Order: sequence, then C-alpha cells, then structure tokens
Amino acid sequence: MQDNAIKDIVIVGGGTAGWMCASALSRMLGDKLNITLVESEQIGTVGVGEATIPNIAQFNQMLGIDEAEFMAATHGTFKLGIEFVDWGQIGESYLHPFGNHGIDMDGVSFHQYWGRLRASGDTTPIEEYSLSAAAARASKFIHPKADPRSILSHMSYAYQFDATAYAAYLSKYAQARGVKRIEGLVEHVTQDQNSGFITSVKLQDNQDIRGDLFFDCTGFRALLIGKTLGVPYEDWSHWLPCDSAQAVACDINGPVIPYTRATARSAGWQWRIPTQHRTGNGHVYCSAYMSDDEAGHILMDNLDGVPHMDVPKQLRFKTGKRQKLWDKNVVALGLSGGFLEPLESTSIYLIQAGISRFMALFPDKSMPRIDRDEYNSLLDKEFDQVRDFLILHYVATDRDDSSFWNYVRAMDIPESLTRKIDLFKSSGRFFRYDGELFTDTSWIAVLLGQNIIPQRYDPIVDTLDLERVKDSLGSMYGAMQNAVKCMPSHQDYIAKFCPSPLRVNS
Amino acid sequence: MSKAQHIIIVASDLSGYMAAAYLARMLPASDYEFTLVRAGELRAAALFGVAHPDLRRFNKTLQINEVDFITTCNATFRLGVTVSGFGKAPYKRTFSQYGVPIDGAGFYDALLANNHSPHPADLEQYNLPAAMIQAGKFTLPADSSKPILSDFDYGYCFDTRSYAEMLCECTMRFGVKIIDSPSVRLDADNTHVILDDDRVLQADLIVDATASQTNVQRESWQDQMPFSSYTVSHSDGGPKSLSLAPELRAGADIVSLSYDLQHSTTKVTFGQSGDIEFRPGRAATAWTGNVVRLGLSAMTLFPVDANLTQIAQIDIERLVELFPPNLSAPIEREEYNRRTSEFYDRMRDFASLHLKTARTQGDIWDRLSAMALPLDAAYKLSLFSACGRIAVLDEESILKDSWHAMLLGHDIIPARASRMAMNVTAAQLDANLKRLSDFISRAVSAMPSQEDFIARHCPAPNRTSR
Repeated sequence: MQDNAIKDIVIVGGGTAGWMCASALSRMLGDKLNITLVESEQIGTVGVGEATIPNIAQFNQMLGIDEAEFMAATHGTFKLGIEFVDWGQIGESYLHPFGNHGIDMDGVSFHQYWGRLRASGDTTPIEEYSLSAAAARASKFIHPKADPRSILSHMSYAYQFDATAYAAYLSKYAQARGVKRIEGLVEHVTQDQNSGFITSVKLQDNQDIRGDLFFDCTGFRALLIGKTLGVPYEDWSHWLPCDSAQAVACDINGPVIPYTRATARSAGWQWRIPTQHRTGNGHVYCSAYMSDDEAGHILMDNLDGVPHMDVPKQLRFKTGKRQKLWDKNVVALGLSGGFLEPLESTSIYLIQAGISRFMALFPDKSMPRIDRDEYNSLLDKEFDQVRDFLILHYVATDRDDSSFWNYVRAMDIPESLTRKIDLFKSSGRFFRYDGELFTDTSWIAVLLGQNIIPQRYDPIVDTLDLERVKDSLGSMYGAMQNAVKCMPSHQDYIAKFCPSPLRVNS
Repeated sequence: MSKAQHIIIVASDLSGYMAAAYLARMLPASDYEFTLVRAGELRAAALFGVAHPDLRRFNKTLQINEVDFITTCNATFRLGVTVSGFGKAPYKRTFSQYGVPIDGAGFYDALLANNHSPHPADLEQYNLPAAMIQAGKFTLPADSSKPILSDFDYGYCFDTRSYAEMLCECTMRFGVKIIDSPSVRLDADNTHVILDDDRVLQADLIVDATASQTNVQRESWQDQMPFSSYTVSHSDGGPKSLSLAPELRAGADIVSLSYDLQHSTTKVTFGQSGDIEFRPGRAATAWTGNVVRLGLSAMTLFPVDANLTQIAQIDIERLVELFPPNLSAPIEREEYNRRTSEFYDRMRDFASLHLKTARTQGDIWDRLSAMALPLDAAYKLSLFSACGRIAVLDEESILKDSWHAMLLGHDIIPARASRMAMNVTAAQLDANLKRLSDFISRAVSAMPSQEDFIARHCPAPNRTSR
C-alpha cells in the first residue's frame, strides 16, 4: 500500500510559510520523510512586525513549543484585539476583541440583549461588555482560564511578534528534527514531460534537488505554482484596491500595549504593532489614489518614536488568490498562493490552515484528483470568508472625505457579504457559516463599530423583562471591571513571563 | 408595536405540535397571538417516535421535566441505532465516537495502517454506548468532564400521541388557542385558513404541518428511496428486555424500523404494498409567501437515521432564530430557505448513500446500486473511498461519526490511511485498544440494566391502551 508513498519533500523558500511547513512536517512525519528546505540569504523575507489571531496557539501546541520561550525568542507581546480608528467616521474608534461580548442567555446572543438596552436609551458601547476589550483598553493582561465558571474564560488572545525571528525560531526547531536546509538560489525547475509534475529544482551551484512533492513558499515570486505551472491568479483588487505598502519600525514610547491598532487614512490605513523591542508600523494604500511620496510622509509623520530607517521599506502587491492552491505535485503556501492585506492579521492563519488541511489529506505520489479538489475547495472557502470580512471594513463606512473612500463605500460587493449585512440590518441576526474563521463577536464588533445598527433587536428578547436584562448586563459589566482591576499590567506580565533579551523597558 | 400578529399552526404530524409549543414559548406574548389547529388524528405517529439527544434541549426549553416526559410517553432510552442487513454484519451507530485518537492519528486511520478491521461490528468494545446497547445497560452520562463516561449522549423512543398531548398542555400554558378541525383548507392567496365548519381564520403567518405535499412544487426522491408505502404494527405488553437502540433492518424488498417503549414495541415496515402511502421528496421551497412548511409537508425522508423528530426540531429552532420582526416582507425568509435547502440536501445525501451502499440481495437493491447519486453524495463517497475523509458541507447535522460508521459498516474501506497514522505501531495500537476495552467493559459491568434504571427512576404506568 505504501509503495507509492511520498518520501522526498522539497520546500522552496524559507520565510514564515516555509519554516512553518517544515516544522509541522518534521514534527508529524520527521522520521518517515526526507524534508529539504531551500532558501537563500540573498532573498529577503517580507516579514515586518506580525500580528496573529488566537488560532496560532493550536499550531504552536501541535509543535509542542513552550509559550514563554517562543515569546521571548520572537520578542512577542500578547494581543487581545485590534483597535480600529477613523473607520466608520473620522474621530471614531472601536475594538475588535478576541473572546466574546458578554454572555449569551437562554440561547439568545448577547448582542440582542445589548440591542434591547440600546433601544431603551442606554448608550454603553458593546465593547464595554468584552473582557478582552476592557483589559486591552487598560493595558492589562493575564492568561485566560479554561474553567467555564471563571470570568477569565471569556478572554482569548493571540500574539504580536517579529516574524523574521519567528521564522528563525522555527528554522532551528525544524532542523533539530531532521529537516535539511540548503542555501542557494533556484536556477531551473525540471518537470516530467508527460505529467507536468515537478521532478527537481536545480540550484545555481548545479545541485539538483529531487522531490515527490514541492511546497512553493517563494512569496510573491510564486516560482513553482505561478512561473512554472502557470496557475492563474484571481484578481480581487476591485474589492480590495490597496496595492502598496510602506513599512518602518520605530522606538517604543510608553508602555507596550496588548493590542494592534489600524488607523484609516485617506487612501488606505496604517498599522501599529507593538513588540517587546520596537513598534512595527506600516501604511497600506492604493497607488491609484495616493503617490508613494505622500504615503511615505503620512507614515513617517505618524510614528510614536524615532524611526529605525530614514526611508520606509516599499512593498507592492495585488490582492487575490491562485485559482488552485494545489496543482499537480505543488502546494502553494503563503504569499505565492494569495495575498490579503493584514487588516485582520490573517496571513499566518492562512498558512496554518493550508498546512493542517494538507496534513489531513496527505496524498501518495499519484496526487489523486479527489484529494486536490477537496483541498482546493476547503482553502477557497477560507480565503473567500476572510476576503468578505475585510471588504466589510471598507463598505461599512460613512467616510466621504476622499475619492478612495467614495469608491470603496459604493463599490459592488460579493453576494455572500450583501446577504450577511442585510440580515444583520434587519434585526441583528448574524450567522456564522460552517467552519467560518471569524466568530460572531468579530463580525458584530465590526458591524456595530462601523455603525451598521440593526433596525430592531430580535423579537425573542421581549420575552425577558427589561429590568431583568438591565440587571444581568449590569452585573456582567461589574464583574468584568472587577476582573480587569485585579489583572497585572501587560508590561509587567511580559517582564515576568517571557522577557526578550532585546526588551525595551520604558 | 401596533397590533399583535396572528400565527396559525395547522398540525397533522408531530412537528406542528412541537412548533406551536416552541414558538409560543420563545416569541413574546405581547406581540403575537397563536392558534393551534389540530387537523385530525396524529399522522405518521410511528415515524416520529424516535428522538435524537437534541430533544432534551427542546424539552428543557419548554420546561418539560424529563421524568414526566418518560413516564407519560412510555419512553425508553436510546443510545443509537442498530443497522442489520446493510453490511456484512449488523453494526451500531451511536451519538459518540468509536475509539480515541492515537498519537495524533485518527482512530480509523490507526486501524487501517495496522491492517485491523475498521468495520464497526468489530469495534463495539471501543465505543461505550455500543457496548451498553449490547449489554442492555444504561446510566446517565457523567456530568463532569470525565473522558468517555461523560462523552456519550442519549435520546429516547417514545409514544408520539402522549407527547403531542403534553405539548398541547404546554401551548395552553403559553396562551395558545386550540381548535379541532379534522379537515383544513387554505384559501388561494394563503392568508386564510378555512376550517371544517367553514369558519375562516386570518393569519399573518401559517405553519403548515399537514403532512402532505400536495399543491406544492416538489422534488421527488423516489429513485433514491424507492419505498412507496409502509405498515405499522404494535405489540403490547413489551418485551422482557428493552432495547437501547431501534433496529433498522434491510430485507429482500423491505426495510423495517422497530423500537421498544416501556410497555410495547412498534415496528414500521417500508415496502411497496403497505397500508400507508409514503412519498419521499421535499417541497422545492419550504417557506413561500406566508406559509412555512414543517415536518412531512416540507420533507418526507426515508428515515435511515431515525431522525424525523430531530429534523422538525432543527427546522423549528431555525425558524425562531430567524423569526422576522416584520412578517410582510421578511429578508429572513430567503435565509431560512437557503439554509433549510442545504440541510435537507445533506439528509438526502446520507439517506441515499445509506441505501445505495447496502450489500443486501434483491431487485430493489440491485436497482439502487445502479442508481446515480446526487453530486454532493457522490463526492462524499469518492473522497471517503480514496482517503477516509468526510467532506463536511454547509448545514451538515449528521455526525461525522455516523458517516464513518455507516460507510465502514457497509464495507467501504478507504484505499489508504492517513499518513499521520504511519507513526502508530502495532504494539502501540494493541496497547491502546486493550486499555480502552478494559475501561469500557469495567464501566459497563458497573451499570444497571435499562429495566432496573427505569424501574428506579422513571417507570411508566402500564396502560395497554392501543
């Protein structure tokens, strides 16, 4: 049965995607496979400051990585959510927290009760009922508890870290488990004449590396899936028109906060990701509406510390996805497979999703069609759902202060997203489709945060007496405020739990 | 809100009684008025008498006490279904998984990689409820998170007529008006219900649980589920030992479903020449205008998973979840129909694969095995045959474990095991299997028999009334 088994796996490219893939394969199948990773120091990685979503914990757990060690090595901080500034309207801000808003009661979503209070004149923003948001606003942190009776079970978190350091950390991990690293540039790719399968990659120094299966982790170059196999790229820039970014790190000024910030600008948005040793910043913009010069000025004028470079690093991209992420014997992971702007910190998640789906379907050398179809359809769904969620941030706005916002506010959007928005507008219903990544909390935070307010709340909520609803929400609020009061500051927590050697104490 | 909106539920099968109670419980009395029209004798009563664990949630919401339910409805506990005559040996599907993952590999993958039979008939000692069914033992799942002992779930076999009466009591408590009218008509524009005595009731929403799919555009499933009628037989007195799972049995040209209540046994036999007409298929659209179809009027499914009550419940819960504040032009209707369609198609896929993959001898089975599958079902089958994965589609409510047990139970063995399972050695597998079966057999031997459990906690009075 295993005569046809895959033995040699070649990973081309050693950024975050390449080393995540190598680590996972070596952990699960290290002694059954020959895993080779080809990378070149001459090719830089895109990694700047990287923010993540809570799912990354599962990946690290699968690898058996110690959290404190990993955070110290990557200069990591905890992330409780994202603050969105100036999105719905200039001057507004809301938090998209991890974990939930309030507590559902009698099978009805919390936000419906909140809607009832709002209709009765209470103006408390929904984020004040989120423990993660409250802790984030107070710059506090403590590890959540699994016990559902503890209020700390309502919190959830991810990390903000240095992606280059993460790749280096995983590189050490994978090599200790038998992954062979080869330094070199790929010069030629050989394909089988009949099947078109890739048989080997030849390096500049003439080394020929053969494999049964290839992972394309070559970033935007897409050396195998694009240049060699010619799998077309599906362009989504009519929905997500930003196509450029400039990035720069700066000094830390003030305490390190446990959340990422995304501030809308006149033709895009700016990120701010705090790590232990510096603050990562970047400006994502649409070049049709803003020049590189102007974008650079906006970025440099809006830093809260001394920049580490005089001129920011320039990046170009096109939002979209390969029509097939797995074609023949090549699987594209990371930017070679698709790009979605990091507004909701999904880049690492999409790599992780690709790896875990692939592991579940691990094929033999014949690369059966049915396995590829299943993989491609699962990943298509993941990409589509993230795409819709990102588009929401651009259409749910009243901003009319630039031609960029005038375009995105009025653009056509995917039907799947229209349905979600309309349903929510009608009476605050929200439905998460099977396997959907972002939770109700995430969608509702953005919908409400950007002023999509349901015409009315769910009729079911009227079965409860208004005073009882007030009482329940009041005691939830009180319990959360108390819990936050008792938490240590994020800064102190990190200093004790996972100090990086490069940590800046301010 | 201005005037209360009027909702009429026309009930011929159990789904209507369930809907009346649940809607009246969940929707605010200040905004809605409810009328339950009991349209004649309860229809298809025997088909609805088998419940999945979800019904406990439903009863809890309605504040129906579990002991009251069991004693009133002559109910027994249900841990799954025993399937005979479909594969090489009878097997069980329970509401719980077989085995445990071994060193990161799925249980079935670990078995396949070590050439151990993955047929559920050979694995009963590795599934707690399957072992309980086999031994006739029952106790409630442990309430804390004790592995295995708290991981299983149970439903019931029950008398639907008694349950319908209980639901009527609930509806009265919740302020629902009840009218009896053996026959009921809808007027042409579906906004009025015309009763037996020609009285006309006006409604903002009509729940059609009339158990009939006439006058509606429908999709027939006659090819995939070629059983056009059924016969019901009851035997009173009850057997000495009560089964913990209904039995689904395939014969040359019939399929039967039989289950025990505390004091009687019910057997439904599907075939071509039964007393009661049975037309598998579904309404093309469940909710049109202001008529929502529920139960058999929405979908008539061949009940291989004995789940008609569960389906009605899920539909009712979805309706409440999506209940539109404005009944005249609800955006929620489209969403309800989209999700309901997906949900029904998933059920259809399971039933058609279940019948098509049967290893039974007979004309009907030969025809079935030559039948073309719906596309999604064909995809599921080919993915499973290739690599043992279950493709989970939108609105899937059949448990993954049920899919595994059904396909493996019908002798469909994946061509290869997951590569992750190559790490599991034969010694490791054997040690795991032994530990698990020791644990399960110790747990089962400490449990009371179902008869003792019922006698102690929830005996139904013996009213041999039928």
